[in-house]
Amino acid sequence: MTTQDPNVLLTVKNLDVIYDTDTPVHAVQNASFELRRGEMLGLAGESGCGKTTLAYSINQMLKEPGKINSGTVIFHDKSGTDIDIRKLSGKALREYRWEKTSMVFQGAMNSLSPVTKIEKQLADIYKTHRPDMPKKERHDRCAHLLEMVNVDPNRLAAYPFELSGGMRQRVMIAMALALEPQLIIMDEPTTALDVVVQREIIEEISELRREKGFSVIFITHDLPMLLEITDKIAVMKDGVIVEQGVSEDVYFNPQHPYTQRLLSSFPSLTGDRGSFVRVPRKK
Amino acid sequence: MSVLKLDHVKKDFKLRDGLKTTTIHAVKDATFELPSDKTIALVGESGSGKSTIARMITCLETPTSGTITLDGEPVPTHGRKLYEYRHNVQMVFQDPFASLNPYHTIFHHIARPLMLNHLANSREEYEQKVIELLERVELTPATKFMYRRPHELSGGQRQRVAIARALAPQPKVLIADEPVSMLDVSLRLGVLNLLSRIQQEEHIGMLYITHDLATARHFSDEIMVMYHGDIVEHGPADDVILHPQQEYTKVLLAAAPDPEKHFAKVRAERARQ
Repeated sequence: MTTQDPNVLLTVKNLDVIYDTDTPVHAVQNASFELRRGEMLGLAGESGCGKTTLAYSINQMLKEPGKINSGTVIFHDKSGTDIDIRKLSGKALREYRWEKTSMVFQGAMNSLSPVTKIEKQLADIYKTHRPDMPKKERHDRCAHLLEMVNVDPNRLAAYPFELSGGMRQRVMIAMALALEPQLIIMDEPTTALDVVVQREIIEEISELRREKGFSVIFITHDLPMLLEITDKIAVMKDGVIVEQGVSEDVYFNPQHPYTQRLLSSFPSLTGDRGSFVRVPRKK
Repeated sequence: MSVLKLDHVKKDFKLRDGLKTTTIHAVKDATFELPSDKTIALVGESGSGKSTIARMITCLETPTSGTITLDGEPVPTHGRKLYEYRHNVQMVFQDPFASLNPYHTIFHHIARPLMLNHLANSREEYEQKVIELLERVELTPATKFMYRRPHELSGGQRQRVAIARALAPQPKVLIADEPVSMLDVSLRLGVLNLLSRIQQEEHIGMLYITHDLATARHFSDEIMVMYHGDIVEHGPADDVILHPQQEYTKVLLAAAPDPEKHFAKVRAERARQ
């Protein structure tokens, strides 16, 4: 193996994912990218372009009939060991998941169990991954997690339906932070929220990232938001990463025609009209 | 030219929880005019009362107090008059996957409002009108689309069918409740451009309900900002976005992503160092 830059956390090389149905769908084709420690990578694209599939395969979470066809996903652990994610299975895989890489799922507002209190759902993580932790400490940790995402720790005793959408979203983020992972994959974490709440949560994520130094893969179709918060961006179309680069460069100097089209689909708030053809009326 | 007027319109909802009754003031005091040559955008966070206003205009809710008038006539509550009013005020719904009936063809969806209005006399005439409508919403070749069912169309195409259906009874007012939020980003502008063209060509008053400030600015003539049932700011689109007066509008604007402003700041900071 070539000498490894110690600041790289994740290397994905020529990843190919296929949904092996009657007519096989080539969901991700030859995807390669590198994620550095503490970096935020944005994955943009429209529905069905393969961005969620790509994220799931990083965590080895693809369900049948989806499978990784070829390529490698290497996780460079803080301790210096390299983990080949495709080779993980059973106990090792269970230990890797959430401990090293956690996830905030799409439609996170509805991914909490409606019949279980928040505390139990958070404590579950510690029960599984830290079986020796005393009960008292578990409780304190759960309370601390909620504090970290600006939710009143008294809400540990609440059921998810007693919380607002934004708060449920924060609980999901707290859950992802529980074991202080090195990478968090966020799949459309703010899509169903209001702009104001969305902004608050985004700022909290950036704040926590600065504090804890974890990396983020952020998936969304909201390109303007993505450009603001990420360091790097990869644009996907039909399973192919058509362009990747530093967010600023992608914004000012998009190379691929699809990126250009995607960017022009978002009229600027304070600037000109983009490809809006409406003829301004004379006042 | 026709005008839709809302005069001190108020809507309360009563919630009952056991013996307790609480009142929610969904819309507190809405007054505005929608003339047929304008597009007004109604923006605000969820629960601010945007959709309640739309539902009152389309007679799906009755206001608790205040009056809504179309061309000086108060909105009827029942009978023939209500029937006619509904032809004049049409709505395009948010979710094109839910608003079309999967059992029926596109022809059926668009011909039905025509039939209810007796706008044609024979099958040929109906077909002719449906084709015209489909062409107006840029679904061409229309004959190809006419006998398909909704599941064969993409989200953008379905929303165009929904727009054609709303246009069929020749409305004076069109309410578009988040017409593009369910569509893929690359299709959104196409549908908005279409709505905007139709509004200008056919002089339909359009109420565009959205939470996307950027499209609200470019798409409409005026913007109304709602917050907790109140219209807190109302003015020409560019003024509201570029020179907001109210605190809440400023909060909303600061929350909206704007890469241009963001990178300008980043570059300014870098230059300083």
